[in-house]
Amino acid sequence: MNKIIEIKNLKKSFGNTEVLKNISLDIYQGEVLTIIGSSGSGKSTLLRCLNLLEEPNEGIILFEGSNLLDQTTDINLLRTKMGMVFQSFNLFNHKNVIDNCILAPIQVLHQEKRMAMDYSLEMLDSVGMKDYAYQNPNALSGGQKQRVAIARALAMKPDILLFDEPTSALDPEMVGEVLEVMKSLALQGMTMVVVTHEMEFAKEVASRVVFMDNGIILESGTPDELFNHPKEERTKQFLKRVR
Amino acid sequence: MMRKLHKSMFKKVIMTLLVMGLAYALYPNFIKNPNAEASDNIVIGTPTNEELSILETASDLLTPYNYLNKQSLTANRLMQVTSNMALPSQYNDVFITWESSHDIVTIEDNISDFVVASPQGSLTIHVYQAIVASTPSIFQGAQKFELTATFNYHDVQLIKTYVGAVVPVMPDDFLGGVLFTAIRYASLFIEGVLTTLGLSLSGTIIGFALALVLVGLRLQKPTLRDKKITGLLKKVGSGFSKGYITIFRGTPMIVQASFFWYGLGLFNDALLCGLFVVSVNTAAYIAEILRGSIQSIDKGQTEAARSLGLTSIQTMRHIIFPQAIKNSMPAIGNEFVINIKDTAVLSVIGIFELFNQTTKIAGIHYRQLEAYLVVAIIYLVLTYSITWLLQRVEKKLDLQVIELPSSN
Repeated sequence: MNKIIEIKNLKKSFGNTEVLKNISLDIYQGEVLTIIGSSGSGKSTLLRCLNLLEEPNEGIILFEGSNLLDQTTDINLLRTKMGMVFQSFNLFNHKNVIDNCILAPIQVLHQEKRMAMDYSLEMLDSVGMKDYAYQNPNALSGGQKQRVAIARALAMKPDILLFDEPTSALDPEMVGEVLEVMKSLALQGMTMVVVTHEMEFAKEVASRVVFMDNGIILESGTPDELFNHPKEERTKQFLKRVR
Repeated sequence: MMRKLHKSMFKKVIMTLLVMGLAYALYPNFIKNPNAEASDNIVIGTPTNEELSILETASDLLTPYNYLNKQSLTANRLMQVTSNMALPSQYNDVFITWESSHDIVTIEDNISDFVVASPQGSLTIHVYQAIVASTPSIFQGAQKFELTATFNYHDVQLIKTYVGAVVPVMPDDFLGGVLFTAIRYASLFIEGVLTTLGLSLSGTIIGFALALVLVGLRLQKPTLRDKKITGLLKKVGSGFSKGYITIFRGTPMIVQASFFWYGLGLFNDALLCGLFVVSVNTAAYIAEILRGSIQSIDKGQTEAARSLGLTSIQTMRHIIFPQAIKNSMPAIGNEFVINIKDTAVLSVIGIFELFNQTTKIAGIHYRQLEAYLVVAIIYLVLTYSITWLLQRVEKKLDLQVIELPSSN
């Protein structure tokens, strides 16, 4: 399998607090990698380092062969190939649903409006939000907003999708609809990195699970290995608590 | 939806302006001050050149006088008559007879002596007395009359017509005085209102445009990826903007106006200088409003835009700025209201905006209380109605209506 991202010896600290301590991780084409761990373990920071929303202090991140941390790398170009879905949706409040989706394809990829509209509507359809294309984001429920956010990321035809706790800000009854969309993406072979507290989702959909604790990757493996036969004491503790 | 709204707003503004213009054109005659009119001399008979020149000299020199203060009534003063007049009857060999076209001025038959001041010392002339029968009330308005003077020399005559008006007198009581001031000088007040509104509105608009540049500079921050020279330029721009804002927010507008008008003397036109001062002053305040507004936009908006590959400039232009502008509309509208009041200080450089007009009006009758009460009410009506209008626009734009301080 092709490596889409290679992380080598990644370090990140905020002031004196070391958040990521020497992380190395490979992400393969077509896999669904879930990162679990307690709050403050550094899992969100790791994800945000992948598209440089956080600038790491040290290390190498190779994305499709080019090093993100190289000063000469065009980070905006690489970001177009990495979609990101946020915990708080971050839809553009002043634009309606379809305009949220077509903004970047038009402005960044210089697509024609017609083309961008067609493809975005297709993506909205795939997340079940086509009927809401001309609605204002404020009129949508949390689950609907998050599905639009996914469609917006998909409209860029990314090679990989990064999910930063996509269901944590949702009412429990809305979680299902978002996870359904993510599941179907996984089935279509989309490469996904998902930071999540949804253990059921990790078990069911993930091809690999990484457990992070205190800035390091403590343990990783298939869902079966990690959930049913954890090796580390800390992992067992965590899993017991979240059940 | 925005575009539609703007169109209907535009229509409403045009309609309001049309109605205002129509009202001004049609409004009752008594509010308007009659204008002085020039009249032609009519010559009767066939005078020689010498005779003609004697007649013309007499008609040029002799005018109606104010009986009380003995001032010569120029064309403009003749339009503001409130008391009796003295009409010269003789100049050397030229004899003059007078006729009035209106009952409000009656001319007595007997001739009396009248002492006027002249460059050569006081001078006694013979006059008819013209009695003003009564002064009209403020609602009757100015009463026009015509005085026809016939200058007789030997058997030739020159006829000259003076157009005048008897105007209402300010009542002694307070309420009457207020009403009189408001109606009699309505056109002066309206001139002042138009100047004030024009200055504050265009000052706010130009100030807003300048503020965009200022806030753009202010928010420049050198990053590690910048080249050295870019980083330096960003620092200079941000520093300039900070300094500008500190200076213009930290000094009174009256000082700025005096500095630019009397001190630097860069402008030929006080109005232009005033517009400049209001604009640069407003720019500093709006720049701070915009900065606050931009910085209060959720960081997630920037992150989402950057994660889609937008550059920082694209993010600012398409995502942050439109939202920040929308959020700061109430505060920017408030700046307009503040400007309506604060342009009063521009009277210091001699602009006849509303306050300066009022000072002028108060000086005519030495009745300060009435004039300043009227202008206070006008300011209140202006600011209140504009605040009300802005709030309605904000509601339509679905903005949060917030209470703002009423002054800088």
